[in-house]
Amino acid sequence: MIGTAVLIFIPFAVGLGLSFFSYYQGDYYYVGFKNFVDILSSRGYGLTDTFSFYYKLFITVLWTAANVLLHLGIGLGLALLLKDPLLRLKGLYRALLIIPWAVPSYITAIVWRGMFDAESGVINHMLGLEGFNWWGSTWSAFLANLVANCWLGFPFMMVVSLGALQSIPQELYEAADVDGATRWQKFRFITLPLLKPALFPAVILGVIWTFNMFNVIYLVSRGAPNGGTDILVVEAFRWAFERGDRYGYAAAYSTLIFLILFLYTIITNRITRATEGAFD
Amino acid sequence: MARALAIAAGLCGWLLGAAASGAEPIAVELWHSYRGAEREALERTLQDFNTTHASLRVAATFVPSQSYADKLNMTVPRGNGPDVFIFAHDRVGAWADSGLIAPLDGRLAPGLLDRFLAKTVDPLRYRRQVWGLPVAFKSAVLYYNRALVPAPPLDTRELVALAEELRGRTAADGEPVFGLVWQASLLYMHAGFLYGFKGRLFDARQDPALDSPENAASLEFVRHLVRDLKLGPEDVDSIKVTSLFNAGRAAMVINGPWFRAEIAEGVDYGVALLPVLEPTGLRARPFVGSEAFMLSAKAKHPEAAYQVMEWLTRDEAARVRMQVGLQSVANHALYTEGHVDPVLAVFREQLEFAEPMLNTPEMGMLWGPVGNALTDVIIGRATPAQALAVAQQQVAFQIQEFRKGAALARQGGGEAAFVQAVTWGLGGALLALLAVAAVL
Repeated sequence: MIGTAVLIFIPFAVGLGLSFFSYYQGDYYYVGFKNFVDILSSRGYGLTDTFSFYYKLFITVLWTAANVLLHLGIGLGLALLLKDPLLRLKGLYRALLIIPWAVPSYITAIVWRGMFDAESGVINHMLGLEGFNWWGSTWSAFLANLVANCWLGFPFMMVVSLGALQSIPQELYEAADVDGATRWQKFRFITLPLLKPALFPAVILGVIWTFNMFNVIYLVSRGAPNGGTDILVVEAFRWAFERGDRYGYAAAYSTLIFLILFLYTIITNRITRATEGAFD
Repeated sequence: MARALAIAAGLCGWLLGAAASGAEPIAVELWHSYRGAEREALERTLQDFNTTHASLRVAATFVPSQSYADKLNMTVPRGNGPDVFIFAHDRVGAWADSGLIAPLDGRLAPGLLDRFLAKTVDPLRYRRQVWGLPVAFKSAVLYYNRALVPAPPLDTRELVALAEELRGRTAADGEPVFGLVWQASLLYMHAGFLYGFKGRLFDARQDPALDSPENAASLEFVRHLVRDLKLGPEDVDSIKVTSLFNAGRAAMVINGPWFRAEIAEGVDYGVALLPVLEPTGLRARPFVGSEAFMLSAKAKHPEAAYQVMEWLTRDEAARVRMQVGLQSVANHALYTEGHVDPVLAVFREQLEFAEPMLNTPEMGMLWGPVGNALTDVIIGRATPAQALAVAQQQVAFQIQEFRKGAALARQGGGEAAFVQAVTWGLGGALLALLAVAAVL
């Protein structure tokens, strides 16, 4: 309990308190809700400007949706392949596919940054695109981030799916075979519904992790071009440490991120009942 | 003369030591972020100081440069920071305003500043006072690989012709060679072009003046070099500059003195002044930064701390830093005596064509927006005029916000209110948690 207090509640409260202050040369001054009002009214920037809160929110949501869909698709696909009882060297494949997860994510991110390099990166060499600057437009930079993060993200979904797949009783498939069900029907009406209880919490977690995936954005695209691919959490960091020590503004940003994720968790919890047992 | 001075200083130290016989020597804490040869040279001068001053004891602490400024901001106001530290001049304004460093005017002996090159002292002046004693100056110059460039270009026409000649050449690893590689999207590296086009960053009233035709012309020139002539890659960071130069893939590089230590063994390189810009006929004028000893406003023994700074910037100590540390020191006498390292001689010459970075807090707000403008122009997302208009608006807005902060500071507030708010936050968070628990 004390551990939780020291590690979670106190920093959380300090952050929350900080968001009502403005930092100026070593001291904090109370400004009420000004930081929040400034952020939400996008004061100083147009609504579609890359520095506006709403632009960042749009990019963040797009980033999260694209990632989680791809993680889930790739992870589930690989899990179905690995489940095949006739597959040889299964253990080896599994070990290999978990490697992306086992390597620290910032190292992976730096390696991907190098691979996407315009002059000496292996990706441009393979695609015959020597000299193409991936960081020159928002969409190519976004795509590069997405590729890097899919590499990082699918093993988790794969492991979760694999575990859940193995808990589905084989008899159900045998019964379906007797009924003459096709492979798709078996997947649609047996596998998917029984995977749900395992996948929902995994997806909720995946969304929260991806929403706050600092390492990949900060190290792969570095927000290029000019913050075009920065997500909310990176933006909060930049306000605090890269744009004139605006700690209060950054704290307000973080508070907003927390509120968004908090609402999201409550809503999905209500809809999916993910935290409740599978059969009750 | 130097020897006599050293003996005199030694005698003074001995006398002081005798006067304080039995008493503990006064401890002075010095912070720096020097590595390699620069660090070795500094430590050697500190040793010399300690052996000649029995009543004083200087201890040096190395702080990595990434966290250096944050550490100072954190520790000095609470009284646990250094007494003296070495830092570049660009934060002098902010630190003078926030009371982190102390002015030296009351302590400077008449004529003492004459030992330094004027251009290294001027950047340390703020609000009509001097806030540091210069250690060294640092500006960008042109590095070239002698295997690819027989003689450095005098102007950009020659530079472009040279780069065209090299087009199609490959390095040992079979990869193409670039004519000129530099971090074109950094204001620091762009400054040479900007001032060479008679551009400026602030007007006479210290308001940002980014959207001028001169500034736009300098951006257009760089855009032409990178996008039309493809002299170098679009996306460049400091690591890429080093790796391309060391691999023989960059014939020329624009970089500062620190680059010297990054050049690999076996690369035969030369250093030259930045070229004359053909469109204006003026030489590129890079930023110059002045690294200086600064006196903490919370120094425990300011007298002793100042004595240390003063001694360490004398010609004798600077000579050690120049010869052992290969540092472009700020003492002018050392550039006219005996043999001067040829690279340092070029830095000394470039100083004549260099613009001091401003030391006001407002300058700190320029780097990001101007860097973004440069990026936009180099990747072809905006014209120079458009990009600079955006930067101008952003900087003006940030400075306006910053000045509001200054107004708040005059009203008071501060730490007590902060603690109070954190307490409220804690209470509020607990209540919110209880409420959520109840709802779920």
